Amino acid sequence: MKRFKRHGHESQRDRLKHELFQFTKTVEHGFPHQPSALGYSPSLQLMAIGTRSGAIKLYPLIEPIPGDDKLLLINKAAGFLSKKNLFFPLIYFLILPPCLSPSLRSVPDDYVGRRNLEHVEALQENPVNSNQVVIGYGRGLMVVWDLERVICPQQLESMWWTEDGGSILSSHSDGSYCSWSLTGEDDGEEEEKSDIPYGNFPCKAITKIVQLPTAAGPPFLLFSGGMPRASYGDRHCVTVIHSKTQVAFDFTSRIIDFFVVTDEPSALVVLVEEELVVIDLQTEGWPVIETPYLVPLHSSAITCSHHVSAIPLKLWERIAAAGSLQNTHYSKKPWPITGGQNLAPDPPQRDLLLTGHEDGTVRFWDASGVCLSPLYKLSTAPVFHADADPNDNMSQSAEGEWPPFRKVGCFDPYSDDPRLGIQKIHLCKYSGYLTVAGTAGQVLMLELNDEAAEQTVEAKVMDLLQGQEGFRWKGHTQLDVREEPVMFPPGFQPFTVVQCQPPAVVTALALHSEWKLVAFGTSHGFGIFDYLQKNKVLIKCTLNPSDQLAMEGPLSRVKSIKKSLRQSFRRIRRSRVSLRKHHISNNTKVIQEANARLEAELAEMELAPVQRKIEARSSDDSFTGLVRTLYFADTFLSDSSHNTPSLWAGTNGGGVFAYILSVPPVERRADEPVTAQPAKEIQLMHRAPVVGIVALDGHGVPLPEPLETAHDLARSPEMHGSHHLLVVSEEQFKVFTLPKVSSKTKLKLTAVDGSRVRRVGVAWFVSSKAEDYSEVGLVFLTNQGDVQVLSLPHIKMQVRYPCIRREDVSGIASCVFTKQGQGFYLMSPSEFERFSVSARCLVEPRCLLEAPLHPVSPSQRRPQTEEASSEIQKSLEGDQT
Amino acid sequence: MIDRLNNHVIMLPEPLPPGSVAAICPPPLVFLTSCLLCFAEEADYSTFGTDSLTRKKNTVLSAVLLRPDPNKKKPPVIISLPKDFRPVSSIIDVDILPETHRRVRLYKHGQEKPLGFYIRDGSSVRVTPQGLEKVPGIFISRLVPGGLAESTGLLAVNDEVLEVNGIEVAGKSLDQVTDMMIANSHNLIITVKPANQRNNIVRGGVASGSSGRSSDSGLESDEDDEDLVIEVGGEAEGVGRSASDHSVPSLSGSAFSANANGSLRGSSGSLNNANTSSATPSPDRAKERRSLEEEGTVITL
Repeated sequence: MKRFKRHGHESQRDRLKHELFQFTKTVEHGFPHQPSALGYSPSLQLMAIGTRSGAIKLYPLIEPIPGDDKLLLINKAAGFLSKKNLFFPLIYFLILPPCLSPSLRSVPDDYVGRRNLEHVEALQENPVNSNQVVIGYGRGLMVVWDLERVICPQQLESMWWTEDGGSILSSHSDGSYCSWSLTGEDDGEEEEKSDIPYGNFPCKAITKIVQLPTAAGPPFLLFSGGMPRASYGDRHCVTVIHSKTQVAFDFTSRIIDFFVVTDEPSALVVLVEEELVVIDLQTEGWPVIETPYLVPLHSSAITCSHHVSAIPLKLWERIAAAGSLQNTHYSKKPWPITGGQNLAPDPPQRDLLLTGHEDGTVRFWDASGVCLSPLYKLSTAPVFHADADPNDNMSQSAEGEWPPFRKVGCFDPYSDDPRLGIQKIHLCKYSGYLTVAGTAGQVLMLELNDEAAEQTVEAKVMDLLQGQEGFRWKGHTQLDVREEPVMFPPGFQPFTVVQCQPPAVVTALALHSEWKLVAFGTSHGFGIFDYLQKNKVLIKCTLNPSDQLAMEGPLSRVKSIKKSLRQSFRRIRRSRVSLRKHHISNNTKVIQEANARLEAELAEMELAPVQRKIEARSSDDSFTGLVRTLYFADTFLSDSSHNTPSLWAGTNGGGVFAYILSVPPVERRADEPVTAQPAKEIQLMHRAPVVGIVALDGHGVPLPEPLETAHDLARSPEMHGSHHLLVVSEEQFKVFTLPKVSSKTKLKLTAVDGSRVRRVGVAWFVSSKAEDYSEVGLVFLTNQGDVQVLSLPHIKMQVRYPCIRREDVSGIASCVFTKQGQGFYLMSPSEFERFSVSARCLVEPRCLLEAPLHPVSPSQRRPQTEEASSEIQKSLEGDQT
Repeated sequence: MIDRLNNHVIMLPEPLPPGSVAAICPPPLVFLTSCLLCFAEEADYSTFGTDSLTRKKNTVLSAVLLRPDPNKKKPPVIISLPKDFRPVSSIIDVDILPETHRRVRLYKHGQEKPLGFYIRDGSSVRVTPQGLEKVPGIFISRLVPGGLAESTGLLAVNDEVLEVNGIEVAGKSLDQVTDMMIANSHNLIITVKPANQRNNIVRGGVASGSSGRSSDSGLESDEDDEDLVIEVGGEAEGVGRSASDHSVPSLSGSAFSANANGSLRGSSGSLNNANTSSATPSPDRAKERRSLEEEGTVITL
């Protein structure tokens, strides 16, 4: 009977789980990794980008179609296929047979009788007579299908039909292009014009050439490449020539392809390896149009990210206003690629994703909807003396320079100083305070200011060693803070910088904007700083004196790798030397022996099995003192009747330190000091790194964020009934009672399935069936790449979904969770994959593309999949008119 | 032949090397036979060992360590108090495991000696209804000389690891199994298929072959729960757990009564005593306390 009852209860629970949890990978934000092809449909106003991994991504629609970049996209042919209430277009592919044998007149003897005309290099269709297709072959033979043939002296790179169909432009490997007119049926074409735009000296190939007419006036000529080989052979340029204006747009990465949004040439769209740049050709000066999507997230490498849900409108507007002041150099023209319709509802709230970068910038992204668009960019570099002037790299072209270069694009992977790298970010959405911590132990406090301000950033050094002896820091030096006032633009302006000593990378950061305290930790210890009074409140050294690696700083590890590498090389060299010696003795047998020995040695190196040491963790292990997590909580730490502010710190060695904070009341807050007293220390016996600490209120609900209840955005925590402390280590989840820290429940993870907690967050899951039913859960990602949810406060496993490949270590490390059960991780250096564990809260593309109803030309049709072909036919029919 | 059922190997942290004289070492250390688990021809070893254990009433045992070769007489060795003995390893669940498998428990808790072994990926051949099948497996690749794993003699290079604390490792990566073992390192129970199958336990007349889960509650042992909580400025205490969690689980009684001979039964009693007495602070625990005391804190467990 009992069993039966329980079974019934469980199935009800299972049903509830279905309503709460569901795993979906929803959107890919950012710029596709390793793009390889670009296509554009003028009729559908649709752009397609192919990648080396075989994906074809369509913009503005974002449903990917598996494919291959060897396929040729024919612009005019596109169809649509209905699937799951979503319409997404299917690009019409034409695969060229590798050996065409056209029946040509006057084919040079060289080619006659050879069925194989080498590989097809280019293909273009006559815009007025679709029966004419020009095909260019790798060896320089161009064949106009059904018409004529053209032979060029130089290897062919690309071709282009002019708008009237009267002539062909061809570009060549020596940086030249030719214009060929096609007039009737006579015995061939006249080479009308030949030119090497950047001539005199040998030039690189013009890989693509396009000529577009304007309604009145001279045509636009656009081509990629053709730079003088010796002086500018390393530049990646697209040149635009119109009348007397000529600009060589200079990109920071290799050009994949480009196209022009036509009718009147209005915008040049260039796909380069790391970004997409759109240039407004109608506005004077040809400014860049800001991209609403496909933004290179990785313009400087992403080092960390931080998500803030439900930003208050006021703060949002202030950040957006600060951001718009940074984007004045962009064109005012709207985004030119306008195909399809967005059917997605307006996002229910405003979400921010903050990314920290290697060059010391923090970028604010609007993560509310399907498009991850940039809002604002903060640079921390001006606070410090840097080697290079930040204005240097945006050097404008000198007057009269030839070729007329203009730098465009924002991809700049070169960081002047790796110490500027951002490691931790914490934004308080209610107060507008931001704290940012970096690689050289710097912790900046910033405040949002709508006006530009010139101010001195006050630097405070906090020595985390606390007189610990026998320590040698071999790492980088701390950053030099500018002592003179610095002019900061509107936006987040730094007012204080704390510099940890030794200047090790900041590994944990917490901000409490109500108490006006910031806590930070490194591999040596942690501290609390009062940013109102600009005072040190607490310094605690967690360094273990027997921890040699932490004692010596980060370089020793590099050294040991170097050492082992050196040893292996020596070993190889030694065997080679012995080999050579034997060679001199000219004794073949000895050489054979030496060879065999070398081979055996190499085989041993290669075949030595991967093995793992099984050893219990000890307190002497490396980096046990490294601070992994910091947490402010107003809870019961001293006794069960008085709640007090507290700080909790978790270390790599399974230690938890708790401090009672005495924060003076608001009216005396500016005058009286904040103090911290040690209250508790917990040493987890399994010694696994503590990666998360959460205090649960009397109802078992995590405590709200600072100021959240003050702004009436969360109900006040239940202060009656006993609070609990959830300590998340990499291996276990443990709930302790408060204030007497005794173990209540726990859940072992690693001991049971061998996976370890990598990322953890608290999330509220709303039922997909009933909006008023929600549960709070603990979301975590393991080193196996699985996303799992635990119920709170009972820490029962709810669901488990495979999310990331376990080999994708950087993807796993980059994951952040939102408060609604969504998450982001870097699927490549330039792309965030967005996923959701919530059955209700999804941000996914919903879009419609209405395809035209008539075909281009029946002769070009190729069979598609059965159910799609009729649809395509219809759409193709539509394109003709 | 002696049945080897749930034998405990009892060791002191630092056994003297064979042939060393006890008097050289200032504290009276005892070298007990390093391995009670013996081969048939070494039966006299274990008989001696169990004998010495049954005489637990003698507070200080003074015994001559007998070697297999009676010609080599060793000087007398002082054996310390029984409460100083603690289990270091045991074979468990012999009654429910197939004869080809061995479930070994290593008591790392409160010991200086490293576990001391390595594991690797490999492949093994399984018998399935469809015939033989080659499947990936995890194997012991190396034993560290002087480590716990080596000194017990219960594990050997190329033994295939089948389970860690009752959980099958099939389908898990080397790193996962490594993490599982380390997470359980305080009380590690590994089920192996020994590479050398010649020393398997022979169970007279008892039908075997079932690879059931251990009935020994040791698989769910929660010894690691004794997190230290330090009341800074006050007294420290172990995190409260019920007493049952602390005690070392008793040995599988049914296995004993079914198979053990009298002398072994006797030794098991003493072993249980040793187990319970191990709840008193071990030297390592005391050391840990000392190191924490240096930071000005007081701990009571």
